[in-house]
Amino acid sequence: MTVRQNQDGSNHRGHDAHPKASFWHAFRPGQDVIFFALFTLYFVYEIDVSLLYHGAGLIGNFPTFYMDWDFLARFLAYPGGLVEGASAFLAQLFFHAWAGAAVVTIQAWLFSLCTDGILKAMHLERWRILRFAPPLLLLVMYSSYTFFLPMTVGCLAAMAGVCLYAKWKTAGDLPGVMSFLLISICLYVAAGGAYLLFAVLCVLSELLFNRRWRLGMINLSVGIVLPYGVGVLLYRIRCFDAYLTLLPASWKDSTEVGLRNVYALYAILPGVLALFGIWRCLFKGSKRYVSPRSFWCGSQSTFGWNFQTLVLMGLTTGTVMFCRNPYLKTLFQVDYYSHQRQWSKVLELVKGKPYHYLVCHAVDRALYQTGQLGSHMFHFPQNDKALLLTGKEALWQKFDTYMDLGLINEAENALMICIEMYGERPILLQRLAKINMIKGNLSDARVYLGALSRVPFWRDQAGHALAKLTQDPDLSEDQEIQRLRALMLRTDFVTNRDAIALLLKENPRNHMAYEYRMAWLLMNRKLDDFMVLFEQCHALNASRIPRHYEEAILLSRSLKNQPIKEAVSQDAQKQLLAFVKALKGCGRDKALAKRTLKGPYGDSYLYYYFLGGSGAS
Amino acid sequence: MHRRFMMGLLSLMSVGLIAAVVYFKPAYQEPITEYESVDRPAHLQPDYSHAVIPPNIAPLNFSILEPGLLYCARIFSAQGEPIEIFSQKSCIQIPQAAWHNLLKNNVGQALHMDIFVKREDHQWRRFQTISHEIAREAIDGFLVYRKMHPTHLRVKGRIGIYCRDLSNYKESIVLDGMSYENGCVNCHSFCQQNPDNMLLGARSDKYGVGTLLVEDGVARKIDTKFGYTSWHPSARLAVYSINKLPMFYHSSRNEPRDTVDLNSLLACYHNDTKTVVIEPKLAQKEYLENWPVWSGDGKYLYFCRAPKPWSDDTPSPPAQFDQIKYDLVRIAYDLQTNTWGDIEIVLSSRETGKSVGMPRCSPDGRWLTFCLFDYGYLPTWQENSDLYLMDLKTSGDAVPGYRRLEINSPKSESWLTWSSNSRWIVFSSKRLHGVFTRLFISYVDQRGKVHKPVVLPQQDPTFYESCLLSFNTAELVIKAPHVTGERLAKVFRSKEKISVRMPITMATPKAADAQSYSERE
Repeated sequence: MTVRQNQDGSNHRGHDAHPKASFWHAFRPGQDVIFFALFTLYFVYEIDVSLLYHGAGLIGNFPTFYMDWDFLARFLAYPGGLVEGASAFLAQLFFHAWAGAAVVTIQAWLFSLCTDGILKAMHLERWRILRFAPPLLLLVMYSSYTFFLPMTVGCLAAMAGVCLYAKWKTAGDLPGVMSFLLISICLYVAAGGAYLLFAVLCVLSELLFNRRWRLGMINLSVGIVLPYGVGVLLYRIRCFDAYLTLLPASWKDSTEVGLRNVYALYAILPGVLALFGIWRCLFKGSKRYVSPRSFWCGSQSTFGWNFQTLVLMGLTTGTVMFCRNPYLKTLFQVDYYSHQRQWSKVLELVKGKPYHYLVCHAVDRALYQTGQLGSHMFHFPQNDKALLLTGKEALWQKFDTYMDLGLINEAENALMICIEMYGERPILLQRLAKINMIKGNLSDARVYLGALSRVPFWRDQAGHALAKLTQDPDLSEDQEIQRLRALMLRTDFVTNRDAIALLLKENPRNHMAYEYRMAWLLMNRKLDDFMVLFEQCHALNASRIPRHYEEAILLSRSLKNQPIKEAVSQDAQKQLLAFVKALKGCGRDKALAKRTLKGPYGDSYLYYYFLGGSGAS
Repeated sequence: MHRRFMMGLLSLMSVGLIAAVVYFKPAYQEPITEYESVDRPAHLQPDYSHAVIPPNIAPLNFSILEPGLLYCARIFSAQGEPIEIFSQKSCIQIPQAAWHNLLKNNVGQALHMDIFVKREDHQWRRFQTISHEIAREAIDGFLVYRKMHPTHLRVKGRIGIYCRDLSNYKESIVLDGMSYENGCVNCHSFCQQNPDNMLLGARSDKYGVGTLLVEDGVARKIDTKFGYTSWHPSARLAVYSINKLPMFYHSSRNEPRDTVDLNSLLACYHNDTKTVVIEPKLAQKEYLENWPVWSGDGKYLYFCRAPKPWSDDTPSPPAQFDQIKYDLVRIAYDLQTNTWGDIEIVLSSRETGKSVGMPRCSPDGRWLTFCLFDYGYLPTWQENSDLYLMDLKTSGDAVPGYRRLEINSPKSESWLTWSSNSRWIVFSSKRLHGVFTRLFISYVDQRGKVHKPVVLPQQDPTFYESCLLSFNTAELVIKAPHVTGERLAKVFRSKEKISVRMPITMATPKAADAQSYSERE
């Protein structure tokens, strides 16, 4: 193996090295291929970026995008618009998990290429492993289900600009300034404030690596002045936006947890260049300047894997292990499957998961839709406020539940406010179209569908609905619309009233209103009201008595020493006797009773009624 | 490397060139010599037929709602070259220069439109000719309006005041709420359709509430928010309302949104002294006063007034919210002595059985338009709100006559503005889409006949079929506002402001909610 001395004093393995080493050296792109292949698979199967597209009411900054020239033209009106527009388009590909994963992987790969290019240009080849830092940061960002695509694309554009600047090696100051200025203007128009990263990297490279002090200072001045000149004076945007658009500092909510990852992404290369640049300035040529190559890069093993590879593997594994957030993923998934009405998947997902207000709400919906609310609700943790989202406001989850119940105006209000909060998301447009179809406002439904037809991937669905509206203007053939019209609340009021009770008063056959009301009464231990409603409406809504209703009926009758008139099963009666006996056996020790009875009775209403909370495992 | 780069660049340019040629290629044209006549007019969208149109309006592009392979529109009048447009799509986009030439050469004459459609049997059909009338009087060149989502709880959605050049489709920003941290923009008012004097209310979590005053090209911030505002024609004072307007929802009414004016008064802003004065006659405790508007000559202030049936601590909405009906009243004003006369009832709700809102006087002093609706002060959210016209030049002491306009639709009509020559009105209507408010232009002839309205034209004739924004608070102006955009936003964000001593009353509004804003269309 031959070793030659580079200009900067570092040692490089020559191409005429040992044939075996040369082969593995040439094969080193394999490291990238393996890394990015695994990266893609991780995004497709573990992270599933289509959950970000759905949003679950947890992502407020996912961009709206319409296939329409007027819409696209808006992105030309301000610096950074091009990157924002491109990001908005790329974000639409998150509709499909695999396409979204491809977008993120390509972005990560480009980050890696640019980082590599910049490190090479600064003669920092031995630190090439740092090219994996931006992809790993992307992994961290997406693992926490945050959406910062425009900022990361801005960062990538700036790094690509640095590569271009480094490629156009210029001999004198004037060509150097000209090339810097040309790239700066293009980059600033495209990426707005993210351009500052480009300026910082170029200045650092000129000052610390190329030692072209004058050019560095001129570039620094241009970098400072250009956003003001182009942004403030030409585009007439405010100074804050001129300098900070697409930079993490422009983010409205500075408490956003994922933002620190974006800061890290922007800071990593300037940090590396500053560190090594200063190191070189201070120690190059002195005896203290030690090349860590022998330790850091090491000699490659027979398989071409060295210490760097091991570090990369360790870092990747660590990132995946520490940044995974399966609980957060469940929140997104539960909401996604609820909106898709895939109820069995919702119930499957939440098994063994701890209580969460929104999950609890989704579970109750899934149980109702699968005909299990009256028989299985206490298999899961319960909260009466989660049932109809009367605790914390959760508008994103509210609209579908309220629409199913027949509270159409409530659902419409929730949707309208959601549009304010989350933008014109396709699912909101689709639901608003449906609301207006139910209300008979067909011209408004057409407007929402018209907008939906301009959203990528939604065109066919919207077109189908528009065609249906044309063929059947009253939607008299649409059974779902007819069903919801029949359930719609007719009583008009403006103050707080018991809407579910009104729904049942107007239509005792409103099955969902009945079951939800019964569930609420059970959760609040209102057995008298439960019995009244059971007698009034049960026969209209069901042919058999579900398990928890049986338990509640038995309890009510037993507590009042009344004979059991209802057709309650023998098993339920036996269960009550056994439960009471077991409860008495625990005396007044409630903790002991909870522990003892949780196993055999934890999923029963009896346990919930006497021992508090849901006894679900 | 260099060669490969050049090759790549050339390939890219070639692809671009081909794409441009394909995109901009002229539509297939053929002389229509034979056709079959169809005994009805073609279905067009928007429907501009038989309207009186301004001679300076942008081309009224439209879609032909007839099935066909090829479409042709021939637009002609007595003078000048006809315009002939062929299109493979049903959208007809009229060339601007030719359109303006045709209109300019035929002012006061009829404008005709022949529609031809080539059906699948390759035969041309010609539909009945559609005619418009080109008015002699031009409409003011610009329209300033607000665009927002039709919700009244603003969180972070976009809201802004825009200026539209009516002779083309150019729309520019006057003030964008995003430019001051997701702020809100409220009513804007101009003195006699001239944007040299403009007042514009704004608020934001970060920068508080305020009113932007533009005078002679200079913008300043007043440290209080003006509600519905009307400039005196002299520009020396403006009267504005201070309201307490909570929002609430209906559980099943088709329009879910509603509001009530819990407490209000009118205040006078004297521009010379930069002070606010409360005239007791305009701020009576037992009344709710709203919608101030000056007569064309500035001798009367018209406004709406209703007795206040609830106490100040009544929770919202009060039980009688749907019983409140406003009268239309006026009060004389002498600018020289700054004295007010007595309040006269112009139109009593007892007489109409309805509530009056949004009165607007024509600048020539002849007409007064207003909305009549079931209850409350805001017609926009009431489906039965209709436009009415009152003739103020009734001789002697006779009660001015008023009538419901023929242009009303079954949906809500509101927010009307007059052109400076009193020949045009622009109003908001929900006739096209019940949720979304759109703007319509109507011609008012000398006898007060209001002609068929046309929707504000857009370059893409299908624009309104997918537009999720409501257009409201339209104001016609003779020229585009000079101080706009970032220049205006910067003033709002700055700490410099004109402090007016605001008299504390029960109606003095509280600071805006920190989290969200309620907003009315």
